[in-house]
Amino acid sequence: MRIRLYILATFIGLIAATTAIPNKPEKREFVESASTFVCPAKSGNSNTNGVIHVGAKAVKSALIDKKNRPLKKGKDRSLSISTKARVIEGESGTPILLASKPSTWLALTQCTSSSGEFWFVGGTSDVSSLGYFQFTNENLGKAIIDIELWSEDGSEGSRTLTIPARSTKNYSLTTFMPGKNLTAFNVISRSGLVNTTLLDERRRGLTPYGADFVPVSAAPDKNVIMVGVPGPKFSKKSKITSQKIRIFVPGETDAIIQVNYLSKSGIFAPVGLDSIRVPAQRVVEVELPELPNDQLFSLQLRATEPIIASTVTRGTFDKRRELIWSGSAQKNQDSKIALPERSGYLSIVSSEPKVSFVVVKSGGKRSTVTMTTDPMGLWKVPDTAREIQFSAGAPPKLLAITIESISGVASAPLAPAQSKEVTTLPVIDSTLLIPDSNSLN
Amino acid sequence: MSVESSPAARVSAIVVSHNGARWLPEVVAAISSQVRPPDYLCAVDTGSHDGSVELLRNSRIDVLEIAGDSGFGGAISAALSQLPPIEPEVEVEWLWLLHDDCAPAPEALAALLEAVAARPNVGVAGPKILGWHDRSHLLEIGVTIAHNGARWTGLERNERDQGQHDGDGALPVLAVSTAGALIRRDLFEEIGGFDENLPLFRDDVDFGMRAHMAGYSIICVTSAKLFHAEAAATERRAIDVAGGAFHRPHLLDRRHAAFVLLANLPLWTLPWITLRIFVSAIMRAAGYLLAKLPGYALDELAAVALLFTRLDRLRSARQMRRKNRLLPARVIRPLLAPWSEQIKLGALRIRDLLLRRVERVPEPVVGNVFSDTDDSDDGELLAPVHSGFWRQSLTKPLVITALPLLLLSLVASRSRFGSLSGGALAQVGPSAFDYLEFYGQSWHSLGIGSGRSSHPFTALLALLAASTGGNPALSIAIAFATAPFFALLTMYLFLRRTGVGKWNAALSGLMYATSALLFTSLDSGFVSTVILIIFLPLIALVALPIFTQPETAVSWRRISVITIALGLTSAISFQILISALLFALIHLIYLRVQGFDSHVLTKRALIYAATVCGSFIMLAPWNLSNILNPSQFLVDQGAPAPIGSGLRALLGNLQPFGHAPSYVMSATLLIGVVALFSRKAFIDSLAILSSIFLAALVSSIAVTSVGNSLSQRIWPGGFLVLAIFFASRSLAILSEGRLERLRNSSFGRSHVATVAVVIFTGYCMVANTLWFISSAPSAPVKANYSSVLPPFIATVTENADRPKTLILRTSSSVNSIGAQSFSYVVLRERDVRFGEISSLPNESPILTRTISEITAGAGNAPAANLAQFGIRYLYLEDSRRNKALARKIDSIGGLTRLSATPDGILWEVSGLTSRIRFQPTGQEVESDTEAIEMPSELVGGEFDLPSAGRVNVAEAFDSRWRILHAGRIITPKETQLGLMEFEIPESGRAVLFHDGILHRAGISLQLAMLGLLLFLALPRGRKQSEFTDEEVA
Repeated sequence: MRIRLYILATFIGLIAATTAIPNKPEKREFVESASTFVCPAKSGNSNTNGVIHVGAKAVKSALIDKKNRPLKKGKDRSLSISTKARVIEGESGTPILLASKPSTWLALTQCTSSSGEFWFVGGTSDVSSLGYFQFTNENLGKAIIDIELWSEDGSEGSRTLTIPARSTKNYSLTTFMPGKNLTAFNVISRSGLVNTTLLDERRRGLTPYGADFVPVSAAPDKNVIMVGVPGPKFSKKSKITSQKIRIFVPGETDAIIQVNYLSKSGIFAPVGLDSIRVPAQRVVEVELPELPNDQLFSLQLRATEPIIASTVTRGTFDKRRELIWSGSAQKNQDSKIALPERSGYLSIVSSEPKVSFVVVKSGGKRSTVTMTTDPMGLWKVPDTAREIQFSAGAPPKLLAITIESISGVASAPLAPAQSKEVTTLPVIDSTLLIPDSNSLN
Repeated sequence: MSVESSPAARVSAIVVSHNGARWLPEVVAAISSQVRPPDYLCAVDTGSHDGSVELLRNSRIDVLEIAGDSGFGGAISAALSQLPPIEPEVEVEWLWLLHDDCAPAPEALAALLEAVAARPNVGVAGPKILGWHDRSHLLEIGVTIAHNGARWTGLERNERDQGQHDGDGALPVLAVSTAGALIRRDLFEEIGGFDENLPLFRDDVDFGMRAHMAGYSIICVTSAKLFHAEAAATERRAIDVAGGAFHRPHLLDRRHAAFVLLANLPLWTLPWITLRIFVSAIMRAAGYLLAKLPGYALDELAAVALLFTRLDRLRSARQMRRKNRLLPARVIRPLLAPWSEQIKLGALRIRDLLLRRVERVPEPVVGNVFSDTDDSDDGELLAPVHSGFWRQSLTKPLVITALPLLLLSLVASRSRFGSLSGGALAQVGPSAFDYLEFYGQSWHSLGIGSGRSSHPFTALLALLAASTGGNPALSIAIAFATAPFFALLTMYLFLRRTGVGKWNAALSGLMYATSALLFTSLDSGFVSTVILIIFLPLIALVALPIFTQPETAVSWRRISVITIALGLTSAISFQILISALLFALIHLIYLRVQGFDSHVLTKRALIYAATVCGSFIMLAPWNLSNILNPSQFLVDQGAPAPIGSGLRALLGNLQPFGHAPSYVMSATLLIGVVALFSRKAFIDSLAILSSIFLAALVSSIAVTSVGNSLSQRIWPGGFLVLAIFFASRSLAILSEGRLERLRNSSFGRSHVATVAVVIFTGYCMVANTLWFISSAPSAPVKANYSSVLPPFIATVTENADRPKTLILRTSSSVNSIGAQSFSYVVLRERDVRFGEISSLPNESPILTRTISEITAGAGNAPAANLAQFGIRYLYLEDSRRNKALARKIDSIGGLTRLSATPDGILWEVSGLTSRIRFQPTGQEVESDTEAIEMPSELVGGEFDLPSAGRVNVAEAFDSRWRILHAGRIITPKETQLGLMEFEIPESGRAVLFHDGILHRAGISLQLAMLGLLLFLALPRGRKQSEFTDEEVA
């Protein structure tokens, strides 16, 4: 009897021991997907130069052509632009592209991910325009895109374009709606993702009027902030001749818009811009009066309807005519952004009174910068800075960088240009082999 | 019957002796007691040295002694020369030939003479020959020869004489045995007596043939009886005749049989006869080898070889017959053994062989239950016969329990009449040959390709399908519809064979057949568990003696049978082999505790080791391919199933797919605990408790099945089946005589335990059955004709480019961080079938990453990667639920939407998506030359390459792939995606194949082991000399 009791006790003990086995089925793994960056090619019919600045030397990249080349590690932080667009791995800091026509103009833009939709409020199709759209399809299948067009006269219809696989196509702005002065575009992908860049270059006769990339606008919103607009004191040799906000209301209802200036000096509402009525489906430009007496300032537009807007600044900088597009961008949180290795100014607008970020310099040296952003912060970017990094959990903020060189002045909003997405890592699951099985449900 | 019936006949009896002292006294007495004694009696002795001559002389019989190597014919010829001449008043003289081992009945000679007197054309008459020891054993009523030379009596083995062949008393036959043959002397002399080429054996048949061709007829007189020991044919004495071919009676018999056919049959039939002799000699030799009688096998082959070394004898024998014959040889054809009878008798003998018991040892008595039974079959036989078939049948315990259970099973299967799938069960293939072909393949066209060996259950399934004409789907459907019925039947059979009473066997079987495990397995599609529940009692019937018999009584043949049984069971569930190993260890420990010496333990350990190792080898090559990943041994062959906690194994219901409610359970644990405190079922209780523990342990472990990313708990079907089996057995053992014992004892814990077991077991049986019937329509397994791969894709993917399809499914809900779950599989021409799941390839992390980029709408050209994997179509299930994802996929380049229905959306991947692609390279090829598609078979391929280049094969990398090109073997390189690439140096024809030599070696090992075990398991034939006298005559 005793042996039997021992056996029973052993059995109970062993069964109890099985409960100690970590027996929960494996959790699904989450994965953060980051799309690649696409940097535009240089225009084939002009003698422009350009450099792509990436955050680190070992960042992988490849030219986009039919050969579907594998991404290879680079040897430098700077990559020259060519007639082919370049794809850069998505895990690096957002690259920035600096293009110029020597002694004529300077343009600045971030490389962005391919996407299914782009908004542009900028450019012109009149006789002065040398601007063009550049569409890049980095994928192996052709992409079909629709471009909806608007001008100061309202909707101009739409155009459908096919972008072959692994190719870049340029389309002159004048081919879309010739003669129109104020243009806005909505690029929507019907199939495939594309990268779209809009360069606005103007010249009247033989006189260059400057050029800049029109920033990709954030999706239509009732609250639009444009950061890093050059002010009267941008530089000693600068003179702003015109500064206008281009606004477009994509909805069916007119919008009432109030404009505020945000600068280091504070926030103030310019006279006459506290209640602008902008008709729907028409592109309008509003001249900015009484510019704040700062190097750079920001504009905040509060509207009754979702709008998109950009600011175009014209003037002479070191005796050269130049135009600068400033736009609204997405807010940054935990992002890494490459800098153009030029001295300039970083404008920051945040709801928080102070913003901190890490600056990575040329030797890899890291330093933390903390600045007040009430209502706007301005940090002079040294030419040794290579990348800025915002830590995870940092408050959202809007950034723009503005630089000046002998070729001209350029500004670009800095956005988290990656489309990051957290998903569950797909699993291969043989229960799918059972017809009508619903194991996931 | 009187002597006067043939007044003019003279009978000269000749007894031929050769070491027959053992039988001679009775022979002499039988001759002396003839009611019509022979007129003259003499004996011829051929060199006896056992006192035969003295014995005959003492009986006052004239003995002629001749050389010891003289044959029977020579002895008769010698005797004839000593006989007095025929007297003129005598019409006819008859020779009555007798052996020294045959005793005629007193009326034998009289009956023979009476028969020949009434039939003047009869030249030879023979008696009905019966056994010497068993005198009702019918040995011969005349004899003939089959076309293959076999001696043919037309009688069944061990046929009793009940007058069934007597007819009108005289049967026309081809020949009669020389033992007791009555032959006209003039006929004997006319045709030259017995052929000297046939000194022994078949001389009678030859003589009969020649007599017929001389115009005489031969009869067997059934009223004349003779008892024959057949001492020479049954190897009771040595063969000393000249040319006796190594003194081997069998060899002599076979050689003479061939000689008789070739010497007597028409010339034009000789090629056919020769072929028959050769083929039958080879087949019989093979049969003797299987029966483990190599000497006889050698005799068969040597007989033919020796015959054809002396063709001159054959030629002279044919010349002699041609000279003496009056009628053509075709007169004997009707008297040869008919084909139909040969086939019929052959079938009967095979049946006898199969039905013969495995060993001639009594079946084991398990525990003490046998002694407790009070209603044995003998008792049934002695019981008075009641009138009324139906009442008798319907009151049998088995019928009372099994018939209602069958009806309930059919009702519960109302949604399962058809091709089954669901739960863990994938669609079952329609052809057993497909499964056998799949089993033989070293590379499986599943998913992105797999070199994993098939599970042996795949081959077993094909064999099981033989019961339904080679249709595995039908087999599974029938098994699912009738599983409870057959489970009850086999368990009943097992219990009855182990000595359990009828009612106990039926009720214990009912508990087994209504177990929660069986019902949940049926509803959830655990085919192996269902099959195991049905067959385990039968297999246990074979295997249990290994534990219960003393090791000295366990023969190699028994070990082989058990090894085969264990191997087959392990092919259904490897958990059985693990349990067998464990039980063997427990048993050895138990014996050690009981005080058995080390010699006994060592011998028993060797027996167990041989059994387990043999069974393991039977599972090659599957076991070898998983030896580095042993957790796969435990995994069920179906799709992974979500099951409840391991503790649920205690109640026998692991709630697969969350289908079975908690009130469905088994009384296994309770019975195991009660049995633990019983002497009779103590060992069984150990088996129950250890099985339950193993089930709980295994089901607590989560492993990743092949073809899956996520881990799942292991389904412990094999362990639970063992637990329920032993619980049912324990219940039967404990129930035997229990009522009587309880009645005779005072109230105590025994009463309480009995009541608890009865109530709980009864509850389980009723609750389980009611749930099974009511829940069937909502069960995961049901008749289902839909497919995972849309049929319109299936037809396209059968083309020579063999593209694949990616099936993508999303969860209906998002998790806590807002992320949706995605699952995918890759399919080819059709759905993956049951039996193929265990061969699925491992996950490709790169493919998974690519799909994650697609579902995230990001990544570096994910569609291009899909094309590299040979995936042409992406099918997203349930388009209504996945609109956002569909938009995301739409916007990814390289994917073009082809169709959209509520069931799903289909995209086509751009670019070259064929299974085999060729990228030209080399100086003469332009740098932007695009890859071209190559035709592909299901596994390999053969194609012409226009130039040097790279052949990419969209299969998971495996170093055993080869390309044969320009007489050279080219091995593959692994690409970044984990696929294969071959560098081809020049243009020419290329053959792509998978080198499956290791797989074939594994299967060869398996077949060799199976063949060896079958050979050892077959019953060993016995030499004639090994039969007892009673058996042979």
